[in-house]
Amino acid sequence: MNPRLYRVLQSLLVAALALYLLERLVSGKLYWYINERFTGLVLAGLLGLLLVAGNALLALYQARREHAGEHAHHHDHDHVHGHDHDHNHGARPAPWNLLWLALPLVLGLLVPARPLGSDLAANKGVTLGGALTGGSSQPAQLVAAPDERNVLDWLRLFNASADLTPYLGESANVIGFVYPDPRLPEGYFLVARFSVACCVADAFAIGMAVAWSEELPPDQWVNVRGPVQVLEVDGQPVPLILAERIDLIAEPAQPYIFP
Amino acid sequence: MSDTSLSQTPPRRSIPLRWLALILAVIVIATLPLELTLGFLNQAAARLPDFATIFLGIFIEAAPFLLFGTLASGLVEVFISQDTLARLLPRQPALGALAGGLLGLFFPVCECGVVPLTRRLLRKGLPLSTGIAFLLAAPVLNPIVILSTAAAFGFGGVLALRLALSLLIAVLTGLVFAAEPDPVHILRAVDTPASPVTPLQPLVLAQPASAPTRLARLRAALGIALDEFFEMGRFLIFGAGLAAGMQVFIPQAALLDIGSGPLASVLVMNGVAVLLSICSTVDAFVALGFVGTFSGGAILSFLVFGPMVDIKSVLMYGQVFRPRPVLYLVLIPFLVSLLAGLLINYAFPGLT
Repeated sequence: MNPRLYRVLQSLLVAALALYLLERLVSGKLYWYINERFTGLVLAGLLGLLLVAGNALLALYQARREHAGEHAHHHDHDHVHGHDHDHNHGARPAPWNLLWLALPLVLGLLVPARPLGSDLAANKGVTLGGALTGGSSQPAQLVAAPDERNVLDWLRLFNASADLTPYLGESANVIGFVYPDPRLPEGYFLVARFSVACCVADAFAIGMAVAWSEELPPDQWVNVRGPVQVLEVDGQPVPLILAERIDLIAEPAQPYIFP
Repeated sequence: MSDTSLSQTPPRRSIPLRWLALILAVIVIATLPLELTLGFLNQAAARLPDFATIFLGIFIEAAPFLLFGTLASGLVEVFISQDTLARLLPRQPALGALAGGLLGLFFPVCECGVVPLTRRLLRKGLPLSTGIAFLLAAPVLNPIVILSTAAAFGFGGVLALRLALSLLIAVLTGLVFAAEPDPVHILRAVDTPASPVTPLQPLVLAQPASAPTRLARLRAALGIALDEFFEMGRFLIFGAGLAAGMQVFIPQAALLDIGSGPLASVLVMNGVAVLLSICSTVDAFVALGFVGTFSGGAILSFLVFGPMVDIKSVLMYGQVFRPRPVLYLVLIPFLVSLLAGLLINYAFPGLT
């Protein structure tokens, strides 16, 4: 492959990656992939990518201008000519590398972006209690009002407290997607969310049991309201909502919980 | 004479990563009966969005760190004089090994950059114990990896253990190599006298003594970063794809039994570390994805063993060192990380 072409393709690919990241950041969809606290990191990263790409393109342009006057023809070397120029000497074009790096771009642009849902919850399992791992999982401050707690808050409460009686009867108001967990008996489903500490690779699904006679389709987002009780699942006490009211809602723009 | 000359014979390339990916695909397809394969392909299509999400999640998280690593590598290449370095370091083996282990704190290089750099330093007269310790420790004991590990696991036990164990293994191995006084017996003979250009270390600049301007040097560093980003990025992408594939297509329950056994989990994670061959600057994020399934000791072993020994680094060692040193470079980290992982599983079961 012509070294100059290789350099151009490299630079364009890097610039395209940077622009893709920028688009995700601006549209907010970036947070379907990573935790919000890394916004600065991604911004710095994409600026760095643009810098690297820009430098290479500039070098190519400068080289072209100088060579136009100096050479009548190019030698058939497999490296780019350089004089005082600061593009790479001795680098061999590696076309396969272009394909590898194009992969994230291709996947990112062609596969419709979709936050994680019940498919992955089925594969990874849903955590109902016990150790809640992942990132900085220090116990959050107790969210005072019961109906402002989300699924993670409830699970943490149940996890941290030896005595659950103060919480029984409190009224819960949570959102999540419907997940029919095989561990639950008939008439129960989980209202689930994904908790993302760093990026979706470490995402784990958490859920509260809901008692509701009507069968709801998996992945349907709902707002569940009702008093909280305890349900034993696999020998573990799990928060249960005796649903008094369930509203079907649209999937929120940001479906994940960032602990 | 500037080091910009190309060797006459093309340098021996490491086995292309695409072959590895192909072999993996063939194995997967060949070991599954047809209905399963078709069913798998069907499932694959349905699960593609989830695969893409997780794959991109790892990549987006990791790419900035990868880039910073390559930029640092470029700056190191351009601004640090190798002679000064060799002069400043202690000759006594134990101190030298320790110094080598800590040197990475000033030399942020990924495991890909450290091999050619070490060779160059050894040829310039760097003591062997220092060089080997640097080779093994630098991929972990450097600011970028410290930051990325902290980003994934917080400033706590995992980070501390990762650093301590890596330093321990590096110093130990450095001392073992100190028994061999002459680097000539360690390094492979090479065709050309000048530093050969390997595919993974593309830019060899004129020595700083010929004084190009600071801006020119900075721009050269950016050029190095571009090439290294591509060289190393493909391993990140391969590893992210494998990790995402495991998460999406293999039910976690199947792994849980292996994952919780104190010895089996460590062995498996060491194997995964070798297979994934991810850059140390970003492997913490992939490791995080295994936390629910694998024991703390296994995760630590992955974080310690991976940067030292994986497919790409062993291939690179093979280009630089003779076979027996390469064996030591693989065995010692393997045994110590295995032992450490086991101990951690018994002593700190709740680490992750």
